[in-house]
Amino acid sequence: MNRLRAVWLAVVLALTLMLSSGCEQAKQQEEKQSLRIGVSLYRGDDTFINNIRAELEKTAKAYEQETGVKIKLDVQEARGNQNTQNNQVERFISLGCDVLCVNMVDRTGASAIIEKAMTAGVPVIFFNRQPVDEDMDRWDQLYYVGVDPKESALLQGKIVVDLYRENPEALDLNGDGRISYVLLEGEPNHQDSMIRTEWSVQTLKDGGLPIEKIAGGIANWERSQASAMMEQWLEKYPGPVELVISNNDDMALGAIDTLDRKGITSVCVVGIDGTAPGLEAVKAGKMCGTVSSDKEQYARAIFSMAVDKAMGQDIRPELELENGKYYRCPQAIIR
Amino acid sequence: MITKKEKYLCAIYGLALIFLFLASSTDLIIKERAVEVYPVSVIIEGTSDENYVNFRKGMDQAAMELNADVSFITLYDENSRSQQIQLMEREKEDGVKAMIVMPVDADEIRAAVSQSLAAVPLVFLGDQSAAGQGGAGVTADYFSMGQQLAARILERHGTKLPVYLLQGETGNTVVSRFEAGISSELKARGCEAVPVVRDPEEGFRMFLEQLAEENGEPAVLAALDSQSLKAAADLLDGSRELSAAVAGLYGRGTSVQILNYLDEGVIAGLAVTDDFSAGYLSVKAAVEAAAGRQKKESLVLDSFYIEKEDLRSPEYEKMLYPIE
Repeated sequence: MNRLRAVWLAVVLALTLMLSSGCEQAKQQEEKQSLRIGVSLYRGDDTFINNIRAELEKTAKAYEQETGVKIKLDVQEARGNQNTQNNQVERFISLGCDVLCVNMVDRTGASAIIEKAMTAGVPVIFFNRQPVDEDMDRWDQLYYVGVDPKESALLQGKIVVDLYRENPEALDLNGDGRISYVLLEGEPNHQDSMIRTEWSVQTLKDGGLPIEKIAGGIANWERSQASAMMEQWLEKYPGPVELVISNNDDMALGAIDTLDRKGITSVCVVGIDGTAPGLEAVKAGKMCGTVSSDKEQYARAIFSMAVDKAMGQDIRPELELENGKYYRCPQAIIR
Repeated sequence: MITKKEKYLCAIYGLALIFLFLASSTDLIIKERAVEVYPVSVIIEGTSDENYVNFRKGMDQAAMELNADVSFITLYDENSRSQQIQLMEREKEDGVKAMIVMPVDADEIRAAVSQSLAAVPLVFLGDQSAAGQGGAGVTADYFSMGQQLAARILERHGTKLPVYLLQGETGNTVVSRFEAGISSELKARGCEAVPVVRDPEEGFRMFLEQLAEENGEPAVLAALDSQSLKAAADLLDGSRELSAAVAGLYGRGTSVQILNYLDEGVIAGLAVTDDFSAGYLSVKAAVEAAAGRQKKESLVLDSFYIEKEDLRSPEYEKMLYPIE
């Protein structure tokens, strides 16, 4: 008799659990007619990040129109301050965001954000600035979207190598058998900056180009800083600068601003990112070439991953993830 | 052996610990005041926030200070009246406590407010006549702004040159009022105003090329909206030939790109207002309305005419490049 009662009790318990979980699921489905995504940008005046932001907003609108699911995209910029970004993330969580998309100010300082997100159970899609592996490995709800910096650098190097092979005089302007170059670097602690610098130069060497470095400096991805730096170099080194290698398009455009002011038109300038002004400069013949990441696909990947996680689903299989958490956006040479 | 007195002391100590725990970690003794967060939606007339950068800074500042949860919503199509009303209705259904609206058509929204949207307090941007008619208002006087700009154009170029009014395919309440202001001033001074509509693909390229080909007197251009101003400036910036056909490009707006064009001399003069304050004050008005203290009155912000050298003056620098 006791055994029979125990069996009945187990059956009732199982049914209750099934019912309650079914209700919970139905409730979740019902609730997900509206998603809230918190987006924190390291700065609001970075051209590349602004391109991604614009594409993200466009993608969200298209999804809203297509599915009828309301998307609330809260976009905040941290003005280059990690504490501000931490506060923004805290506010996003307190306002009930389903998922966070974070473009870190300091990629080594992600642990505070991860801690908050883990406590609240809110997945995080990092983008453009990759947190260190130790942080990324702390939770299985952390993802990253970005480009492969080594690939960017190899492609940038290839632009110059191809140009040289097609017409060596276009690069060796004074015909001394050497290509004198200057190098504009992004922030010193940014992983892309270090890798782009290393592999761009390496590709030129591997391609057999007789290169000679005149000067190099950190312009923090900024057009104005790059322009000022170029001005200094042109004054300081009277010999000809024949090539400008820049870690991004904004700095490349800064160098072009200075060259324009000085009336110098023959110097080859190469960038990375494929921002709208960068592409314009290539089209206008002011820049030799750039490596353009597919901004639409970049934003679509961030948004799709955010929606999947906000809906409580696995990341859709068409987004192929490295190690289950890193998505590398495709890129191509534009010249 | 513990004495009776020591036992009492231990008990008092224990009770004090329990009391302190309850006071600091629970709501049983000290009740913490619940902070009410007010959901507020801002619905603009355009498809992007490009021209609302300073407005958003003020909006975010007020949201932090006044516990507002602000959603900034753009339309799917520029100046679409039906979409704006639909989005307002959607936000009402979602339980928003107040809305801030830059109306595509102020009259249509006022009509909707008197019917389906009556329950939600509204703050109108860009519409002075909102006061007492369904909501509060935070706006510049766009009619006077237009008059002021036209007066400065005439001061600089005289009345003999034709003034071309650059505009988009669709308009809205602010554009209409600004245009009325410019046209009235030009007409009063006997100057001709010629409307030119922006091509969705080519912008004003064909119009400017035609001006350059005619090789006549350089023309004066006044853009009625920020997009038209930027579209014209983009073309003039890249071409000496087109720039030679233009005596001066004028308009209104405070986006970074527009201010850069003013700084570079591509734009000759701008009509501006304090967008940061507009953002801050509109959220403040919305929160007050959500809390049941709505004042149905319009707050009219000053408008100014600026040229390149004004960008460096502390008064305008603070207004045009606000730091949160």
